[in-house]
Amino acid sequence: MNLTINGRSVAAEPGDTIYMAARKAGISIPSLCVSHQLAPFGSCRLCICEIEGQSETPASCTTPVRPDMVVRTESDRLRRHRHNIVELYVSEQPEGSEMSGPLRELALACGVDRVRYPDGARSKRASVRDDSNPFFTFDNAACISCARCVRACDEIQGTHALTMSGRGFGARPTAGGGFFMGEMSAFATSNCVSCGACVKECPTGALTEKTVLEKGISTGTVRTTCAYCGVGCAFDAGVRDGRVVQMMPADDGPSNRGHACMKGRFGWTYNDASDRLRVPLLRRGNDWEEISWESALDLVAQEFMRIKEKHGPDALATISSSRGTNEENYLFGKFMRCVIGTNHIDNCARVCHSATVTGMMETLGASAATNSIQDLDLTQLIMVVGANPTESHPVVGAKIKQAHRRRVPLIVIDPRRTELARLADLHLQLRPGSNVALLNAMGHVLVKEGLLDHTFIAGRTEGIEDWLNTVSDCTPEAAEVITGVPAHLIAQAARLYGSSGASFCVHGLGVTEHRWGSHGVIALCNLALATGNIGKPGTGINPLRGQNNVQGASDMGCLPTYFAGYQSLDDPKLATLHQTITGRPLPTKRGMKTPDMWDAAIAGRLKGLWIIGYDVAQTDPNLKKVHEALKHVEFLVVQDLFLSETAKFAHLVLPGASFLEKDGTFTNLERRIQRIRKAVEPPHGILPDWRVVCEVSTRMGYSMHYQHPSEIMDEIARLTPMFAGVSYDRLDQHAGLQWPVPTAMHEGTALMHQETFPTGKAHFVGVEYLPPGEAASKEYPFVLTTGRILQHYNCGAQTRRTDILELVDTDVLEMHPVDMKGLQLRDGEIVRVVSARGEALLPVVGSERVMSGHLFTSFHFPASTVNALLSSSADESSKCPEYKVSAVRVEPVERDELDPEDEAELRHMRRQLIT
Amino acid sequence: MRIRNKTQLAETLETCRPALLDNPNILKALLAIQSARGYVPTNAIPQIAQVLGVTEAQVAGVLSYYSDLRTQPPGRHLIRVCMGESCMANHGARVFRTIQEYIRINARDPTQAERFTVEQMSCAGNCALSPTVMIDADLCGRVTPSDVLSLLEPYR
Repeated sequence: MNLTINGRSVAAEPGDTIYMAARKAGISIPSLCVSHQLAPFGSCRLCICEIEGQSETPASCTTPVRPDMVVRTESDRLRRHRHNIVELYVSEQPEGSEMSGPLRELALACGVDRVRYPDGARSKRASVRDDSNPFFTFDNAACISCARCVRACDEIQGTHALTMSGRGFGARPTAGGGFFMGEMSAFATSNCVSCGACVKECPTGALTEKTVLEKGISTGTVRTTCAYCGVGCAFDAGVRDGRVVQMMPADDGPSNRGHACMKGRFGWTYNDASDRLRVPLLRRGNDWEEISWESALDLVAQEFMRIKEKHGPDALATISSSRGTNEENYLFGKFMRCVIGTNHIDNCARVCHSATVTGMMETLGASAATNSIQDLDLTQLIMVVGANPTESHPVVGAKIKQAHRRRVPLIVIDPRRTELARLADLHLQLRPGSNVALLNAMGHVLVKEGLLDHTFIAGRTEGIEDWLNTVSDCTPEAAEVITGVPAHLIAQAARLYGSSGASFCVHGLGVTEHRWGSHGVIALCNLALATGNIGKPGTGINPLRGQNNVQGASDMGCLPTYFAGYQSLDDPKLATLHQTITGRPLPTKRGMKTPDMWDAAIAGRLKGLWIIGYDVAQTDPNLKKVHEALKHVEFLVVQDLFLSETAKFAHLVLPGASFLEKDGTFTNLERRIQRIRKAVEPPHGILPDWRVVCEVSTRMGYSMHYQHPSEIMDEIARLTPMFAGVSYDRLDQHAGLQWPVPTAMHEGTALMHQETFPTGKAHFVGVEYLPPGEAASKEYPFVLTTGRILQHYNCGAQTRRTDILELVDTDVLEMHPVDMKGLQLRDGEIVRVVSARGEALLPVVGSERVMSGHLFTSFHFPASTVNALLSSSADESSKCPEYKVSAVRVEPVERDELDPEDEAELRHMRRQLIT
Repeated sequence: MRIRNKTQLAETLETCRPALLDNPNILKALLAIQSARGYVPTNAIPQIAQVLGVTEAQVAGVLSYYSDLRTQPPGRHLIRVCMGESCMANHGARVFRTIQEYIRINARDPTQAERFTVEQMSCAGNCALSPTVMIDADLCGRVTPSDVLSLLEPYR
């Protein structure tokens, strides 16, 4: 339809408001309470307009368009009104203070230079200041009660931690129950998750980042991509005087659309941590000697040459970083394959989603999310399996909560009662390790109740018989015995999943990190194939990748079994191309996976190891064995931002440049290759990882010269059909590209498998339920699961060096209150968790998130050595370790067993709020 | 009827627990507690939020907004003085001040301290007989300041 605004004909959609129509037409209307991220609200009254035939001045942000309406947004009357309204707002601002943001601009624009109400509302605004959040402050004096913060918390983040309190002049935003229970500490005592959405929405600076208060407002911004989880949020890094002062999520960020989480928004201050490594460190006995970059690079080259000559190329290996850029990962692969001549390269996808790679390759022929994050806007049903996105991938979690607010049904399959599980329409609380039994039983119901998509099965898949045979006797009743989930819930979940019209499945490490993890993934793919929930908008199998570039590290061929783009190592065409482009042959023999490297090191076959940005000595399972293996290596190089647990075993430690200090690309969980851009210089002349590889390689006689990472990407594009159309120019233009991008004209692939699968047809693979590697026994009566919490990230090397530590400064063992009572334990008491492999000391907290008999803890603090408890048990085909099931027992700790340091810790320990 | 302990609060709350797939009704729950207990104790906010399946902020927002919701225990008798236009024009404010004064003097006797709570109300719908004072459920019209003493005396 069309309407006239300020004499111009403007097109609009039914349901648009006048404000939206004007905005689309490029007509700007002053406002304070409008945010295009939020539903219309109409509280600031600045966007008033005149409509022909109406005498009053309605707010344009809440007035829907009508065909042929004639609107004016500027007139003498409107200007006068606006001037008066802005004057009233200004009258509430603290005297003599400098206003910031949009209100200041408005005051200037409306010519409000003085206030006619000397004792206006200023005295009526309660003096409330809340500094209790570690990352931002709230000052009621600067607030105009527009409720944008409250609406952001409700509508964007879905946490409902904020409310407008009181009435009239007293109305103000407050966190939690703070209005009644202490406004000075309202944020700290509320359920706020510090996502920062409220701070971003605030138009007056009443909510402001502490980093901005300390370091000043940014003088410039650099668009980059977050380096925490795999969501790949786009951020504008605010820079001032060569330092980052703020990270602001970008509204046009393709995966985050202006939202962020605590870690990405506020957890970047590790970049300026005082214990960043500055110079290369060489081990001298128990001491470190600072050496120059020249001699460090010489040493690496020299030692690797020596080992290669003496023991052959197979005595050397690298473990690449899932946090490094694509270009760096590719170069490490190139270094191993061209300079050393082996495929002994792996990355930490091994311990998280390698089972997804195996499982999805076998069924769908491609191992990455089939759909995009924005498909959550299109889907009719969301099924979350073994994932806790509101903590591990908070921006996706918030998106799922938004969908749930729109009444999209939500099924959660998880042993824990996570935040999403509490919201879910159906929560199937299964026993850890019984995914396959449950998913097969869902398949059984689909078959029995005729919910299969026969057209899709006939046209796009093969091997259904295998699956039909497998699920034929997997009744929900049989699954109930194995999983502990009532049969009728399993049947109901199957019905919902099969009949929604578009079911979007996300899965996490709760599916993969099991003895039979790849089977879990296969069982999930079977369900999607049987119901045609693949290759269509709002459907698919979507693994939530844990790290910023774990997708990319695997894509770039940092795998012992595939070259970049998952190309087969023995492909003769690739071999020729590789020889032409790199001048060296591509080794065809498969290399060692990370767990094999530990065996090889202990057996003395692996002599030299280079580990980049990966703290194996803290995060890999069965730590005792990993530590032993690291001690056996003759020459261990570790490249990291900090002296990590792994670095403590190294012979040579090289400092690394952070994501804010280099150029490159990350690939997020929806296969989107996005740029990271250098915002600040690395301190002390630290070389980015890609330069280090080039230098070492050149010293070893194979010259590698690149002026800029873009040249590396060009080389990748030439070698890898799936990235053939990727270049930095295009990445800059398109805000990233989703692979496959087969040609320079191709727009990228938001939705995979629309017409055909990479292997032609998809394959059903029948997988039987098999029990996990360990079960609770008389000696070890509890099943322990490990995972992440919202506040910290993996080994914690980054988050532990930020103010996030004020919120959570220890790992905590979550135990069901019934079990607490049985063992006579109190909240906060330190207990010893014992498995057949080792033991760990952890404070215990009663939590109804876990079932009785089930324990949960995170692994973010090296002191808790949680991973010492875990076995080397791993998925048969992918070697993905069984982090999710370990049999343990819990013992009380006698006070005199604790050393004084632990005691101090106990006294100061902040109990994590478990809601 | 007033609830004396936590179990009873829990019982009242239980009647407000939303049915499956129903939206929680915060206001209804707060009114139920107030009618059972005379006021809404603010330290019960976490418990209310828990039972209703909402956040503390959502409960606190509603509780702070409505002037009819009390967070302090009221006296044994609740006096509400109408401040509507008609009562205001007929010196309702003067009546209000006299009652406040009476209560202030009365409260010097410790045994009488919890006898009355006085509040203002918007309109009792009794405009023809303004100014109006309500004591508990009793409606009194054409009240003058000199009536106050004899009016309140019977409420012990």
